[in-house]
Amino acid sequence: MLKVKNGDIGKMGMLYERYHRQLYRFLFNMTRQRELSEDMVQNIFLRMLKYPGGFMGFGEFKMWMYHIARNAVYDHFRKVKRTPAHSDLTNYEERIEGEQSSDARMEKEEEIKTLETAMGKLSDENRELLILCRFQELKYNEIAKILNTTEGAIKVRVHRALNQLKSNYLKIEN
Amino acid sequence: MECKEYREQFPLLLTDALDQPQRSEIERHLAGCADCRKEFEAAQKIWDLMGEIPQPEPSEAMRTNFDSILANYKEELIARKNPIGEWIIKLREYWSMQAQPRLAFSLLLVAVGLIGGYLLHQPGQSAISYNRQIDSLSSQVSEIKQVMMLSLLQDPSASQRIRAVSYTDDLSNVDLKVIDALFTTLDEDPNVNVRLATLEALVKLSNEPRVREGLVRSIDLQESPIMQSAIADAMVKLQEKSSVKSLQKLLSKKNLNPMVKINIEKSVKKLI
Repeated sequence: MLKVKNGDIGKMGMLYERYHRQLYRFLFNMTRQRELSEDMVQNIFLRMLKYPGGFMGFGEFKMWMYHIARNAVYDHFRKVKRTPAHSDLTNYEERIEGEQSSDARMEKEEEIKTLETAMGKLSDENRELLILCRFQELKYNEIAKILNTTEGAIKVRVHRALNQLKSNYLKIEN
Repeated sequence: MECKEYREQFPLLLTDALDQPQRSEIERHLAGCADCRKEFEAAQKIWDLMGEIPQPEPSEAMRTNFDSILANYKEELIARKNPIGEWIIKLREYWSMQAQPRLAFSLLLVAVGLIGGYLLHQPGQSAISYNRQIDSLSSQVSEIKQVMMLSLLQDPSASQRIRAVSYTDDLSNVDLKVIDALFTTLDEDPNVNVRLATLEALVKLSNEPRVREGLVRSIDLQESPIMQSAIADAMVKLQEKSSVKSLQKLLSKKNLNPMVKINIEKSVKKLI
């Protein structure tokens, strides 16, 4: 990473290769918009390239990336003033059409859809926590670093967020 | 541990973040507690279902786009190394980011100002009428002063009459009326100071031949020694040779002050 700080563009290309998919998914899960998420990925990497000063040279590149990504996401939320998350379900619909779906499959799709709605009803903070934990598969200590808190606090908060999601899900299902 | 504390550990169990002894402890509890087991199963269902939420792949174009972003940035860095290139980049950024609408607006304002100014100005005409106005105004002021001076000359107070005489300096064009009034004052005013002041004023107007003639004529009429000397001095100053006769006539007067006589003789010599 120090090489990037010294202006090695090739190194940033490598980091992009390694992390852009993970970053894209984080942004997509937060915003539920594909094009926006793609633009954000490019902007975030360009930002890291232009202002390597933000990376202090210790810790992991990944943590720095999430810091910048979170700022971008919350800036976006502020800008759009939380219009109800318009979810981009094309992928999901394409899949339904593409498969000869059995009843069991249909039922599963229904459950997933319900869960996605339940996710959408979580607060940004809770949703982010579950995304980092479940989709990004980050460790508790990593999440704690990104959110600038302690590992213990994160464990409690993940537990609460999961409970909230569960009760949202049950409410929609019934 | 109570049930609540076990339940707090569920996410850790789900993410496989527990070591073996902790893990077996929870599992032992779950085996014995139906409520917690039910809770855990519900949590696990949600957790597993989350794993099935489709995760989109970024489009293929993204990678190539980023490569071109990198290439652009590289060019920019190279350009930044020489100062001119840096300026061009800054200007381009400034232009594209914010300046465009603002600059357009200010250009529009300048254009509106120029056109408006051109339409309002209409050169020639206005300048002429403006000058005409000033001319008429200044001639009016001069007329007013003249009237004021003429009426002040009739004032009983000597100092007011001196003031009136001094106004002749301000009059742009002195006409016949004023000159007549001044001569009347010069010849008839009871106060010698007023007459002296009038003489001074008339000397200043000596460009007019009529004024020179009048001055020569009034030599005869002066009775006061001061006035006689003063008018003789004035004649020398003006180099008015035609006054010699009048001055000699004055010299022949019987009651002439001796000092004045010496003075006038000197003047006559200078003039001849």
